[in-house]
Amino acid sequence: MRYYECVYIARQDLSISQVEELTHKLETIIKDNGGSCIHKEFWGLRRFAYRLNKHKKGYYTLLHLFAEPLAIHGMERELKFNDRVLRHLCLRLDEKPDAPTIFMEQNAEEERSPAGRPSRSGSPDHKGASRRDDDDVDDADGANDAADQGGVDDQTSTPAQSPTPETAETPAPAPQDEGKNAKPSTAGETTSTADNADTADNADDTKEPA
Amino acid sequence: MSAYHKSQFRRARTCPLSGKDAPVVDYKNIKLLSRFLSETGKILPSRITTVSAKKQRALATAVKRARFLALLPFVVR
Repeated sequence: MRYYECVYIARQDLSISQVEELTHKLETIIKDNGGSCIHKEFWGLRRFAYRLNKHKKGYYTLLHLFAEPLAIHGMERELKFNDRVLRHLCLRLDEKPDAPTIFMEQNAEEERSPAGRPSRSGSPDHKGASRRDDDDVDDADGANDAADQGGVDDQTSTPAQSPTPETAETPAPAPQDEGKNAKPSTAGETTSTADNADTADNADDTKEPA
Repeated sequence: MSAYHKSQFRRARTCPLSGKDAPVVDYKNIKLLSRFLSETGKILPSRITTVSAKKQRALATAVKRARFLALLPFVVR
């Protein structure tokens, strides 16, 4: 018996109850083969980072399992041939996984911050009716989402971007006096602070011999 | 002496993913992974991000898994 982590993406046009039904079906496959489902997480309707089989969104579900490989194979076969499932990923884990995954913690925050988002995955989808209408709404919502993500990206990618200007500078500081000190400290978020530290350091050096 | 002195002021070039309080590299942690991607969605080289070789390998698999599940983009045009 080993620990496994399985994430699968169900089609967007299903109702939440249908997704739960599918999760239940997978659980029974595991249980019939002597395994157990330790933890399950429903991540809700998420927008894909790219178009997946012409779909824009899908329901993500995560399962933490403790089972024999055979049980996992049986479940994977079900996932593979069930046309409600867009994609799945099953991983073997070395140790018992943490109960609420990082994903839940982070995206709980994320979902709260942009207004109007929590309601999407809530009541309207529960009914499962008027799918066509929902699709239209999704497209409109998609534009908003893209805008939202753009905003988030700007914030999060700032530290990642910062190295670029620094590397561009690398040859530049050579003619300057601090050239030898101003070796690009790529770990730093801002070049300016590092430079300031270096210049202060330089000033100390010049004082010392005097 | 002075050379040693200077090195204390220089910002430490340590791996942001190694050490005691370092975050766990996981394909579900999109916020963390996206810090190590370029604007076009490529994985940044470790010489820019100062990630250790071991963690860079873990990072690469994590990013690839996240891409497979459409949590991260393959390309941003």
